[in-house]
Amino acid sequence: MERNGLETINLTIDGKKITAEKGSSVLDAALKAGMYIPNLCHHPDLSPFGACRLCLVEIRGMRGLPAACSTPAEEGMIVQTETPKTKQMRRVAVELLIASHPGECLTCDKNMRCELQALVAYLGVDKSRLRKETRTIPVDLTSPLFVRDPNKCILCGRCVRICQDVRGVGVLSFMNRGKQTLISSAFDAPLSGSDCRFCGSCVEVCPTGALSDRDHKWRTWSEREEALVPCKHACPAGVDIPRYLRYIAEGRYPEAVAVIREKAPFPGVLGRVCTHPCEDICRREKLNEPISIRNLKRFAADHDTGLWKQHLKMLPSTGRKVAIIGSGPGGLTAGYFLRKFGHDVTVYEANPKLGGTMRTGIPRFRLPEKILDNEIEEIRRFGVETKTNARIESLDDLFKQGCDAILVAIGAHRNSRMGIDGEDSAGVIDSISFLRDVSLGKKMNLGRKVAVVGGGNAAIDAARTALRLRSEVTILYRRTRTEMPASAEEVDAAIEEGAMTQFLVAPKRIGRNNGTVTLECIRMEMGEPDASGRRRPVPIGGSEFTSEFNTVITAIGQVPDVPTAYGLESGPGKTLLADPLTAKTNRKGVFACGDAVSGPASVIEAIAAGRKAAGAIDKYLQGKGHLDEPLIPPSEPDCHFGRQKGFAALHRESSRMTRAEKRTCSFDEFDLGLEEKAAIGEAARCLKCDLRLKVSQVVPPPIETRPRQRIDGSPD
Amino acid sequence: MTTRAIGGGDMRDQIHEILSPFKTDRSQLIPILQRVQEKLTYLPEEAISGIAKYLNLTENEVLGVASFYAQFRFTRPGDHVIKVCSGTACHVRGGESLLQALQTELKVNPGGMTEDGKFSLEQVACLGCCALSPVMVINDDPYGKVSSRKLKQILDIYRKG
Amino acid sequence: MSFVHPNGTVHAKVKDFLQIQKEASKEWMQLQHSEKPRILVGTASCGRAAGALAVLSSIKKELSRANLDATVMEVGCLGFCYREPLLAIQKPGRPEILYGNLTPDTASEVVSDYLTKDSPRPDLACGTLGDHEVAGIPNLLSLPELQLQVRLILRNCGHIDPEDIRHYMGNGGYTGLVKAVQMTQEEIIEEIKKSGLRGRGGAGFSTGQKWEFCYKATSPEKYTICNADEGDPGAFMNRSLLEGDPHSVLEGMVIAARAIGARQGYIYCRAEYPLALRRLRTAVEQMKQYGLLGNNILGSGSGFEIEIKEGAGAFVCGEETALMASIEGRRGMPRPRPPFPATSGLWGKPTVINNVETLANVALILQKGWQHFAQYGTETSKGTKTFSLVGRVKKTGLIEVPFGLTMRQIVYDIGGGTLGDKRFKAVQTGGPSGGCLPSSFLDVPVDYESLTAAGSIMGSGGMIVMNEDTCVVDVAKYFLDFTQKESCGKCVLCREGTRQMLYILEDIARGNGKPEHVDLLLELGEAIKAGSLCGLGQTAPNPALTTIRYFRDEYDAHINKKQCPARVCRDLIAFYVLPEKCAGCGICLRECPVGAISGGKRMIHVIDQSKCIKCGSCYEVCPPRFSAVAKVSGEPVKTPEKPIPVYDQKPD
Repeated sequence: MERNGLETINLTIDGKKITAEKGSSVLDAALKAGMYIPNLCHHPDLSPFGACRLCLVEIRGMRGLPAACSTPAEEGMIVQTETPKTKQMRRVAVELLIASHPGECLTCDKNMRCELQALVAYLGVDKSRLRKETRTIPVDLTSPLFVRDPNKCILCGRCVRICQDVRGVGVLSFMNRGKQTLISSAFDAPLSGSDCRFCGSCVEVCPTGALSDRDHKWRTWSEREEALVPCKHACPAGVDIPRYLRYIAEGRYPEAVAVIREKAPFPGVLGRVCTHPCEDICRREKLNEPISIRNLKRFAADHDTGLWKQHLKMLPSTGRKVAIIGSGPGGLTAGYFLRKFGHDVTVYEANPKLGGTMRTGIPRFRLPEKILDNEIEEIRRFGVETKTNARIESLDDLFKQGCDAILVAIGAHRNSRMGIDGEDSAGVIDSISFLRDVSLGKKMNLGRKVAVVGGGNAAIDAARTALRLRSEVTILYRRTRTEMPASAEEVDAAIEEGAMTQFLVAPKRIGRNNGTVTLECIRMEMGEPDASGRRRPVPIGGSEFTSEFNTVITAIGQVPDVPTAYGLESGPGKTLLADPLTAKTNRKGVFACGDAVSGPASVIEAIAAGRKAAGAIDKYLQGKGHLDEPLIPPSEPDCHFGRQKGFAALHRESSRMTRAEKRTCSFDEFDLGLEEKAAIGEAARCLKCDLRLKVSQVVPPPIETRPRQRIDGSPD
Repeated sequence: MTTRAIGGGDMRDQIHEILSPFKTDRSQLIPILQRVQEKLTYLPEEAISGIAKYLNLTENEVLGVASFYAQFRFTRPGDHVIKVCSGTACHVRGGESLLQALQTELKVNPGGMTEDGKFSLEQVACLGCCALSPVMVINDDPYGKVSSRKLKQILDIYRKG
Repeated sequence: MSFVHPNGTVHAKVKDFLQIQKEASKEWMQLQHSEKPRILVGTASCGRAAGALAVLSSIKKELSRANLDATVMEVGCLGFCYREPLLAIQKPGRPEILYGNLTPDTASEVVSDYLTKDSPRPDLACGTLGDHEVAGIPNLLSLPELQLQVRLILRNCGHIDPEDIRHYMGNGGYTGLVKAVQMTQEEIIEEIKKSGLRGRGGAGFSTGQKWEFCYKATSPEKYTICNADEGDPGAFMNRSLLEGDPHSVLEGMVIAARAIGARQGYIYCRAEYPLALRRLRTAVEQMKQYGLLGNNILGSGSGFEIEIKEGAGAFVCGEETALMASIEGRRGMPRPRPPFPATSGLWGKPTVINNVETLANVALILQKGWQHFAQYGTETSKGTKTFSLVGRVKKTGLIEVPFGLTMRQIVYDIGGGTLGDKRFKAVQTGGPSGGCLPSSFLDVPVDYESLTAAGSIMGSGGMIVMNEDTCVVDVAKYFLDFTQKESCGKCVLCREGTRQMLYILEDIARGNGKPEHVDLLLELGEAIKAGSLCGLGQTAPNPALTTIRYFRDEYDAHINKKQCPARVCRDLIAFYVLPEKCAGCGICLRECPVGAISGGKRMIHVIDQSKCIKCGSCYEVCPPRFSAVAKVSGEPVKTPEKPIPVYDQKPD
C-alpha cells in the first residue's frame, strides 16, 4: 500500500490498528500514530542505540522483549507495550537510573525540562529501593557557553551520536566500561581545547542536566530562539545572518547577497557603515572574538552577480500612488518594497543628490559614492520615481495631486544648538552642513586648526573629514572616552589618523580674535548619574581655559526639521510621533519612519523602519502587506560540517587597511575589505547557532501522569 | 624471566617505528595498541596522539577504544607485573587468599605499584590453568598451586633478578 | 562459483594433496613403530604452570648424559590436569606408558630407569595406552576417569606434535576438507544439519541452520569468525584444543568458509592465551605452505585467508556483536539485534561466528560422516562435549563425554568424587552466565535442554564442583563481581542492575542482610534477565537466581542468623584455638601474618579476635594430630582470655 509515494504497512499496537511507513521502527510507528512508548536514548535524528531498555515491548511470535526502537515494524505485527513484564522491567530500569542520579532537581538547570524527570513522573516511580550511588566527577564550568556535569549523565549516548554521526565532529566519546563508563573528550580536555565547534547540538539533545547552556534564562520558544541565535534578533531588520555566513563559507557570494536582500537592500552600504549590533552580541565572542559580520556582508556585496534578481517578484500594478518625502535609507527602502507591492512610488529629495544621510552624513572615505549610487540605481530600476532638488513644503499639495498615502522619511538634519554665547559667530559651523557641503563637492577652507565639539559618530566623521582637508583637528568631549556614543573603531581610526582629543571639556563661550575663533572651555568631572543612568559631567569651578581655532565644528546632536505646515504631531525630543507598529501619524494617510521618528539612529534601523512602514502602508492601501519573500530557493544547510583543528582558537580576520599616514591624503576608501581566503575563513568561524534549532524535538510523555503505583503494582 | 622494556630515545620516533608496518585501516587499531604497549609497556599520551594521526582517527576515538579493554594501561607499570587469576576455580581454591597475601607482602593494592617500582599487581580474568588453581603469572611465567609460603620464595627470585 | 569440478573428476591438486597425506600417514606409522623410543611431554599452559618445562629440560639432560637416542615431542593437554606434569614414554614394541605428578628429579629417574634398566616404574605411572599390558600398570582406558569418556575432539591432543601439520595429516587430518571441496555448498550444509551439531559456545543454536542463513544472504563479501575468546573463568577447553591440535579447528574453519562462501576469516583469540596464539600462527603458516589457504584451495577455484586477532581483555567480546565491533577496531559494545550477524555482521556483511569446538566438530563430521558424530548424545543434543571439570573434585581435568551422561557419572565416576569426600553441594555450569545445580540434579542427563530447564546453561563447558566448603552466597557474589567488571556499560539494566545486586549480596555476606533483600534480588534479577541488551546481561543474574532457588536456606542463614554455613564469608566466621586440643606448639603464632595470636611453649594459644583478618593460615598449619584451630560461624567458642598452660588432661 502506498501513501505519499511511500510504501505503508499495517500493524497493531495495544489493540489499536495503525498504519506505518515501511522501514520505520516499531517505536517510530507508535510515536507517529500518537501512541507513546517510554524511551530515553531514542532521538528522531539519531540512529537507534538500545541502551535505556525502556522501549522494550512484547511482540507476538518474537522471543523475549525486543526493543521497539531497533525492531523494524512489519505487516501484521501484534505489539503489546504494557504487559506485567514490561511494566516491571521499566520500573526497575527507572529505579536503577534514579539510584545513580544526583536528583538535585531544584538546583538543576534542567528542572521542569528534564526528560528523566518527565519519565519518572509519567511512570509514577516516586522513589528507588536501591542504594544511592552517585559519582563525584568535577563539573566542567570552565568552558564558554556550555556546562558539563558528568554526574548527571545517564549515558544515553545522544551527544556522542549527534556530534560524531550528524555533525561529523566527534569530540565526545564513551570512555572506560562498566560502571566506570563516562562520556568525555580526549584526556578530559576542556571543550575549547578539544576542537569542539560549539554548535550546541549536544546540549540540545541531552535529556538531563548533564549538558546545559550557561546563562539559560529563556522560558518561551521565541525567547529561546532569541537567546540562541542572538545575531538575527539583534539585527533591526532581522537579516538571517547564520544563513548568509554559511553561503560565504561555501564560496557562494551571490547567494549570500540574496539572503541579505530578503530583509534589507543596500548590502554594500551596510557592509561598510552598519553599527553591527549583531557583532556586539555574537556568541562567538564568548570563545574569543566575534565574527566580523559586517565585513563579510561587504565582501559578499562586492562579489555580487545579481543572482537575487532572478527570483524577485513584483505584484501587479494597483494603481495607487505613494509619495515618499526623503531619499535616505528609510525612504528608499520603503519605496523599493512599496514598488514591489505594485504601487506607483515617487521619492522626493530636497538635496541635489539622492541618499539622505548615506550621501550627506557619511563621508566618502567610509562609503564610496559609486557603491551608494549603484545600490540606489537598483531601486530606481524597479520603477521607483525620484525627484531631486524637490523640497516638499506641504502635504496637502501631494494629496491634491492624487497621492493615496504619504511617507515622511526626512531624517534628522537640523543641528542641535549648544546654547552658549557666540554660537553663531563666523568660523563656527555645524557638522550637518559641513558634511553635506563636502559631500556635494563644495570647496571648503577650514584653516589650519579645527575643533570639533561632540562625541557621536557625526563628530568623528566631521573630524576625520577635516583631517583630510589638511587641518589639525582636536575633538572636544564633555565626558570620558569610554562614554563617547561614537563606535570605538571610529574613534580609534580618528586618533590613528592624527586627531587630538580633549576629554571632560565643555565649551562655555565662543568669541573672535583677529580672524580666529576663541573657544573658552571649562573642565568637567563626572558626577552623579542622571535619569538615564549615565553619570552627569559637572563643571569644575575656576578651571576655564581658552584655545584658538580657525574653525569650530559643532556636532552635539541632530533633530528632524519638520515643516509645521505638515501639521504633524511631535513626539519626544522634537521628533515626529508615529505608531511603532503601523507607522501612522496623527494625519490620515500620512506615515513616518526613520530618524524623523526615532531621532538620529543607524542606517540599518532606518532600513528596518522603512520596510515595516511599507508593509503597513500596503495594508492601508488594501494590500496584504506580506514583506517576506525568498530571493533564493530555500535549501537545507549541510549539518555535517566536520572537525576543524583548533576551531576555538581561530582568530578574527581583519580587513586590509591603508596605512594611517596615507589615509588622510585622500577621500578614497581606506578600508580595503577582506581577501577571499580570509573571508571564507572568517565565515567558517561562525558557530552556526541556528542549526541547533533545527534539531528535532523529542515526543514527551503525555501530560496527564498515570496514577501512582505501589511497588507491587497496586494503585496508590 | 622477562624484564620491562626500556623506553629510551625520542618517544615519537619510537612510536612511528612501531606503527610503520601496519596498514592504516581502522581494523588495525587494537593490534596497534597491543604492539605499542608491548614495546613501551604502557600507552603514554604521545602514543595515543601518534596512533590517532596514523589511522586518521580522533584522539578521543582512540582513547575510547583503548580505555574499554582491560589489557591497556596508561601509566608506567612496575619492573615485574604480577597477574593474579580471579577465575572461578582459582577463587574456590584460595585465589582470594593468594591476592591478599600478595597485597600484604608487597604493600600494594590491585592496579597499583610498589613504592620501589619493582612490582605492579593486577587482578586478571581467568588464565585458563584452572586445574592448578590458584594461579598467578609474573611477566610471562605462570605459577600454579601457589601457597603463601611458596609465594615468598617466588617473589625473591624476582627481587634479586 | 561452483565448488564441484565441472566434469566430476578429481582435481589434480586434490590428487597431489592425497598423495601428501598418504606420505604423512606412512611417516606417522613409522613414528609409532620407530626403532627409537619416543617421549611425549605435555607442555600446554597448565602443564607449564605445573612445572612441565623444568621436567622437559631435566629429561633432555638425562638423555644426553646417558647417551640415549630418543625422540622428544612436546604435546598438548591429555586431560589429566590433576596429575600434571605428565609425560609418556613409548619404547619400541611396548605400549605407551603415561607418567604423572612428576618433578624434574623423578622425571629423569623414570627416563633412565625405563630406558636403560627397563624398569617401567609403576609407582610413578598413571596407565598404559594401547592394547598391550605392562605388569603392574593399569590400562588407561580401564580407569574410571577414561571409561565413560569419548575423546573425539581431543583425539589428537597429547599424542601429536601440535606444531607439525604432518602429524595431523597423518592421523586423517584435512580429509574433511578434501571431501568438502568435492561437495556443493548445499551438500556441506546439509551434512552439518543432519548431524544435529549445535553451537558449542553456549547458545546451542543449530550450526547448520546458522550457516544456511548466511549462505542464503547475497553479498560478494562474507566472513567467517572463530570465537576463541574463551572468557568463562574456569573454562579452558578451547585453550587446550588450540594448543594441542590447532589444525582440527582450522580445518573446520576452511570448511565453514566454503559452505557459506566467505573468502576472509578471523580467529579472535584472547591475549591471555599466548601459547595458543603462537600455535595458531604456526599452523596458519603451515597451511599456506600446503596450499590449504590462499587462492584456489585444492583446486576449488575459491580462496580463503585467515587473520588472527588478539583479544584485549574484555569478556563481553565473547558476545557476537561485541566481538565483531572489536575486530572492526571499536569498543566492544553490543548492538541491538535485529539485524543478525548472519545477514549483517562484520562491516555490515553476512558473517558466521563459530566457537572453537564447533569448528573442530565440523572437521570431524566431514572427515568421518555425520552418522559417526550423531551416534553419540541425546535426541536433541548430538555428539560429544568437552568440559573442564574443576573445583573441589579429586580428579580435575579436561574431559570429553557424549551428551546424556548424568552429572553423577561425571562428578563421581570420572571426577572421582568431591575433594576429601566432603558432602557434594552443587555443580556450577556455564560460567558466570550459568547456575549452580544442586544434588537433586545429579541424575539428570547433561544436555542443552535439561540445563536450561534447571535455570542454568551449557555455556562453553565449565563445570565447577562445589562441596560443603563452598558458600553459595559467596559464589553468587563472585560471579556478579565478575560480570560487573566485564559489563560493557551500555545498557542501564546490566551496568547498574548487576552492581545493585552485588551490593545486596555484599551486604548479605557481611551480615547486613535484610529479609526483603532476597525478594529484591529476585526482582532485579528477573528484570535484568528479561531486558538486557546482550547475553552478558541476560545471563548475569543466573548464578544468584539459581542459588536462591536451590539454596534458599543458606541465604536465610546469612540474613536471619548472621551465619555462613560453609564458613566462607569472612565477616561471618571466626577462628578459635580450641583450648582442649591446643598443645602449645607455637606454629600458628609464627604463621599469623598480623600477630593476632598470643601464647608460649606449652601454653594454650589465644587468637585476638579484634586483630584477626580471617586469612585462615593458622587453620591450615595447625598440625593435623592436634587439629586445634576451629573455623566457626555463628556461635563463638569459649576460650581463655589470655594464654594459660596447656591442659594435661581434658577439663571436666
